[in-house]
Amino acid sequence: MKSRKNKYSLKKDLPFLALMLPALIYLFINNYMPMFGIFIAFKNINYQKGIFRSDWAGLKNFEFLFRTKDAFIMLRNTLGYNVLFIFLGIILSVTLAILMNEIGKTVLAKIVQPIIIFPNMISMVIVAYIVFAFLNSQTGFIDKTILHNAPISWYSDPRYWPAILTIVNIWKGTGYGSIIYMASIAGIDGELFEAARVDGATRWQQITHITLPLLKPTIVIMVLMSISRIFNSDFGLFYQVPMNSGALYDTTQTIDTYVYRALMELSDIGMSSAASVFQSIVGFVLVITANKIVAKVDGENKLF
Amino acid sequence: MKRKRLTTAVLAAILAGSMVACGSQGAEMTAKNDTESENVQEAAAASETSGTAKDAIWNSISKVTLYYPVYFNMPSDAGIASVEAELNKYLEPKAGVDIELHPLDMFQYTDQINLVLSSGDQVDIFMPMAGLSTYVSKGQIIPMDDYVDEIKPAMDLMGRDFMKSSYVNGSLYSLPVYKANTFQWYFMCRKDLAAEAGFDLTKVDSIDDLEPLLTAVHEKHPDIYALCPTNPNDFQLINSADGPEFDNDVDYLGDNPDTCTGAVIGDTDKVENFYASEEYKAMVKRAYDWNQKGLLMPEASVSPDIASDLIASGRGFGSIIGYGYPMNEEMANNGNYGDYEMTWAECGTDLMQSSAFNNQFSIGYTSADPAAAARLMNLLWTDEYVVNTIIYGLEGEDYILPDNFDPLDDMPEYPEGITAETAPYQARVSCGCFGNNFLMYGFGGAVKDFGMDLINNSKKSKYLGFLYDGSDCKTEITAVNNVIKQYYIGLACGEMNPEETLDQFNADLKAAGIDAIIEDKQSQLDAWLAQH
Amino acid sequence: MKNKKRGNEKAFFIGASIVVIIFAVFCALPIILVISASLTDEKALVAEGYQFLPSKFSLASYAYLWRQRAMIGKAYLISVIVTFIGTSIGVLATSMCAYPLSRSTFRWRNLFTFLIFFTMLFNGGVVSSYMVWTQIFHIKNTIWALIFPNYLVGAFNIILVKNYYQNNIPVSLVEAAKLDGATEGQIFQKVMLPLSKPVIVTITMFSGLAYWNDWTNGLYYINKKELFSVQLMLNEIQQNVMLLRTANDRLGATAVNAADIPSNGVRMAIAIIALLPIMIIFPLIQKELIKGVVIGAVKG
Repeated sequence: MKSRKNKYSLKKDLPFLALMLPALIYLFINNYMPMFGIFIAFKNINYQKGIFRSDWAGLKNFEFLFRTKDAFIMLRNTLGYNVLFIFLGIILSVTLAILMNEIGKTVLAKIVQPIIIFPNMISMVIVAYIVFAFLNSQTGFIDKTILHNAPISWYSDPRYWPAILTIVNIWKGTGYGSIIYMASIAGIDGELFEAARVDGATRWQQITHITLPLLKPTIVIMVLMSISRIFNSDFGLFYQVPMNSGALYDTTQTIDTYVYRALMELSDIGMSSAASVFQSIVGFVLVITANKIVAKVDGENKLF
Repeated sequence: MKRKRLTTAVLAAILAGSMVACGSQGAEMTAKNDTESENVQEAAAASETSGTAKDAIWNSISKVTLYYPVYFNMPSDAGIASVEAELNKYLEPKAGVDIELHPLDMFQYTDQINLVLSSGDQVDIFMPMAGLSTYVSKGQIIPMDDYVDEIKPAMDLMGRDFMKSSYVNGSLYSLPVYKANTFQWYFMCRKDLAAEAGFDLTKVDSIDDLEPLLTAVHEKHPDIYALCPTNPNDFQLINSADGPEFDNDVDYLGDNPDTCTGAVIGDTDKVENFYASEEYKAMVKRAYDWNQKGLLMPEASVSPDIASDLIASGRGFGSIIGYGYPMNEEMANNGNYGDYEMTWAECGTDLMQSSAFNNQFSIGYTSADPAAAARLMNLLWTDEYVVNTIIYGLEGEDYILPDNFDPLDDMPEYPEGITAETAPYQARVSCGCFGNNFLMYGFGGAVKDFGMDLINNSKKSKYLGFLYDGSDCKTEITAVNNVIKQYYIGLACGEMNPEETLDQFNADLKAAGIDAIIEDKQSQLDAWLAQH
Repeated sequence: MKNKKRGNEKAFFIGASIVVIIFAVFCALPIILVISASLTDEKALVAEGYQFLPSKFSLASYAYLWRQRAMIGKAYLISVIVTFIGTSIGVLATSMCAYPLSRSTFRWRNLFTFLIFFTMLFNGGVVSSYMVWTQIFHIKNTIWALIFPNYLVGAFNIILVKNYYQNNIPVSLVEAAKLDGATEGQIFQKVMLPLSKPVIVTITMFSGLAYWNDWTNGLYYINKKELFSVQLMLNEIQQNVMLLRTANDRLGATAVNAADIPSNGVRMAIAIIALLPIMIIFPLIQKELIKGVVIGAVKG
């Protein structure tokens, strides 16, 4: 009896498995097979012995992440910026997506749409030059046009950088981030809006009563996925945009910039993979927790 | 046969260490200018035949892979293939090897070498750019002690002193690139402004002597930066001062001034914290002083601007630069500084550091036939046909030797209708990091004289050849490096006040564990001194 | 009543337009700065800094890139091929994979979602990926090296599509199709795909941009000039220009005349050149993002 039930279920699931097969094979090869590399974090690599036969290093490769006075600063910055960016990112991207949807298929939309994606296409090195063009003390716009009487030395005062980095992040990410929400809004059944309009609902009411609730699942998924990377940071944003200025560490040092700076000379793969394993584990724990909470509050929207 | 004689003559000249011999060699070659290009071809042909006679010695031909960096115009597949084919005609009888060329773009080099080494691909000859002892401790390179016979000519050519940095724990691991390995420091500046200031550049001995000149230029032209950064965020004010300016030379014991985990200052045999030394304090105090006086480009610690651009655009006056080449009018005015005519002052030579030999070639642990690799390596130091073919490509296809070509001082030209960008093969910019620099066309004359002078006559550190293995202090080294990066650039660019920051800097270094590294370095240095 | 409503909608439309325009200007200004810098004479650029209008107009940066056109043209072709193949295969595999994960009747859906999501969290690092791709699949220095590693199918996109199927496509449609005797494959093809155009366009764009912008695959797996993609080539030019300007090596001058290369301007011109294809392609795909899906029409 039981076995027949299993058989039946497998047969029912076979088409599903067949559909998933290409992606699963790829993820197995591209993501799961190289996972033996995680061992490197716990080994004292000797190439002649190979990864598996190299001596165990225990947790020694992880030590450098904590044996520094910057440990607290970089953890605080990484977490702080990420939380801020997740919040702002969602609020601004969702707002932009709704507004873009409002202006619909006008010429304006056609012009604006590519423009808001462009910042995402510009490499951080170039972004750093742009920011420098605004802020440098010799030819910078801000000092030359707005502050010509009292120039600020932006690159030596860490207080300004949380704001500067946030602005750059908004500039670079909002347009790109809004695409997902635009797609979700585009996927909402048009009849819902039609019916609301017949009932006399204003645009505002339509947004709060139809659009936002229907965007909720997407927002939740995006938050969960961001949480899994909460210990990672955009290296270019925190390293290149502040022009690697030592005076700004207090507000620009993150785990990734620390690892880069610390390992620049040693280029030790054991220690660099230890850093990424550490980031992954924290992200993993946090996302599992967050997913549990979502499952409790709102079972429909949990990730898995 | 002529070719052989030439090599031996150069070799003899170097062994004798005599500039006179080398100079006369040059004169002889110049006299033969008109027949030179024929000579070279003849020579190549001659060695080929002489090599064929030795055919029987090689029972089999081994494939040897050579990974070397190239800049910019990467050779094309077809170009590489034809250069390989030509080289192999010569190498098979001569050394029993088939060469496989792997030119890697410089910006990919470190990444790709690490990857090919870790994946187990056959890597016979490559440059261990991240420091020899690192590669040894990770088991990425093999000792060459068993192949000393194969590379003996190359070793004899360079001499024991030059090879000092190639040994780790008593075993030979590399051959250093044969070229000038210390710098002559120059102050390059605009001729018109220097003349206007009425300053005699020949009276300059060190960077300190430049202050009156910089001050005069700054006062007359406040809009022009008197001293510009040579590289982004780097005035070279520390590098150029550690040797020439102080009674006691600084040896960073394998590090650079901006990564120094412990140095010896003078001949004390005592490892100390460089950043806590009086010497370092004097250097950064001067930088701060000059910054306060407006002599340095402001905000240099974050600006991407460099001297050549600034001078060309009329906003800069001069910069400090180190060369292993002699300076002359032609080189000073090669167009790098735009339309302004340039002049220069000599500001002393560097100490030959324990880290002076950072350009080296080693044999990878995946080498299939290390003896064959060693034989090929030897030729990269001693055989100008091999060296020139790898650098310039094939004559007729990739370069031509014009009439009156002087192989010692002239560089080959491109054939009609071919440029650096379209040549099937050329690796010209690799010249400074490949085998024997002095064997290449254009480097055997004035450049060689100057280089040999630097090699033979510059001050040499007592600790030349000491290599620090930091694998027991990795955690401390990473933390210390991070602290250095926080302060070094700001101090070197004169933007941080040393009176306020130096103490904090050193307190942070202590907290990061610099004392443990210094202790470790000291015990390794003591052991090394006991052996030597 | 009707007028009031229309007035309200109009005011809303104008308000939305103003905010969107302000944001677009915010996005565009720095890019205008880049364009202007790429058109400014090198000396003026260093002397006066970046301006919104070139203080001294010059095409030298583009002239330099034009001289490299044979290489850059070839690289463009490689990038287009790679982006096209990678995105087509990737988007198909992604949307196929997402469908079962969105079906509540699929028994292992949570397990597989977790296994797929897990790849977003943990990775073995560059060295082990390189070993897998070069030692087992031997893709080094082939065009596949630009297509397969890292970008073909990603957990992020799968989850996006799964989420869209789950929330925007009524289960009733799937059930109706089942009753009509459609197989799962047919449902995917006839119901899910046509109804999920907005999200398919989205992941096509994400995947396409990822391929177009990538140069790390090239950095690790390609050292043949013939297979350089645009971004790798541009990166190479940029980094080498800087090296040559600072190294000032004796032979540098004969290999390329470093002084002739407007290094600052070229950097900016490169950024613009990389943007070009997006400017051309974007209008073609963007209308799909705006167009609402009228599910009712399919239902009927």
